[in-house]
Amino acid sequence: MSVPTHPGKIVFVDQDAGTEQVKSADQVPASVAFASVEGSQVPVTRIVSSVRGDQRVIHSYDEGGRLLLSTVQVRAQRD
Amino acid sequence: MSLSKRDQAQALGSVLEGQRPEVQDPLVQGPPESGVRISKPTREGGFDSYQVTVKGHTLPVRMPKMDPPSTSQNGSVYGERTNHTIDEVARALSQLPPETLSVLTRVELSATRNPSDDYWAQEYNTPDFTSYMTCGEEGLVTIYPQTYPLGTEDIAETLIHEAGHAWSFQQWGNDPEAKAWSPWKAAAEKDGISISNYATNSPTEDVSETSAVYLATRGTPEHERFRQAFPARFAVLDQVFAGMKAAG
Repeated sequence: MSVPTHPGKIVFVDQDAGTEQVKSADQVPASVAFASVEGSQVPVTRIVSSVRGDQRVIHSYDEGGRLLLSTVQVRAQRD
Repeated sequence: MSLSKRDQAQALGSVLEGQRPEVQDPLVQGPPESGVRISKPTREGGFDSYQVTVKGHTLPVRMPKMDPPSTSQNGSVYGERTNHTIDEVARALSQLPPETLSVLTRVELSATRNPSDDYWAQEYNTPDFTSYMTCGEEGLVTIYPQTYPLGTEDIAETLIHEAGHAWSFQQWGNDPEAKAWSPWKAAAEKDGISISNYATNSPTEDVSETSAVYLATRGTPEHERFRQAFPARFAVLDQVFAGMKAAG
């Protein structure tokens, strides 16, 4: 299987903090820089995060703005 | 006496903020209700593969073989992480509306943590960051193991919300600034209030939050209360879901 190439940059947006920072794709793990879509590794170029209730939700998008992956943090343990 | 939009929002109170109408049926042990079919498992490597059929939708569900947690003499649980059972997954799927089921393609329970968790922990300064679930673009849902049991409502609520992203992007495209999103944004402006703080993050979250409430309350008196508060958005959702139903 060929090694996928990445355009190089990933924009991290924290909606709650209102911040945006650009990182090099090689600074992050492959599991963050790429999303698996139907057997192919698709480069992630924008990651948008915010907190919903007690869970952080992270959305990973490709260059075309397609939502590739949503990651939902586990909730705090309830009594 | 008619209420202003602000008064309506306050009247709906906690339901609008932080206490979304929960999908019924908290953690329940045992087999899912009738109408749900779970195939006998086939063994593939370290996984048991099932076919779960609910409301006319059949979804492959892959479960890893996991060691059960150990219990010490004082009752504390330690050792391996735990994940949902096939009955819990089937029960959660049975709680989903057809509109959500239609965008899912398969469910996989993972035996290991999300490989990105360590990075998210560092990035978001949350040392114990643990993924519960990821939802992929192609409708793949992955549920990760936890150190404590979670209820089936955690699966259902999360899926209804995340599926809202899937169908809305399918319907109107990836760019919320595009013209296809205009009817939704116009409806939101007309309604004047948002269903939750989280919904105010973006039009895409507004759709997911509003549609989750729409679907979770459908057929209940609560639904009509929400419809009164969000008439324009609910009218858009009426059309969208009627179209999805017609398309099969």
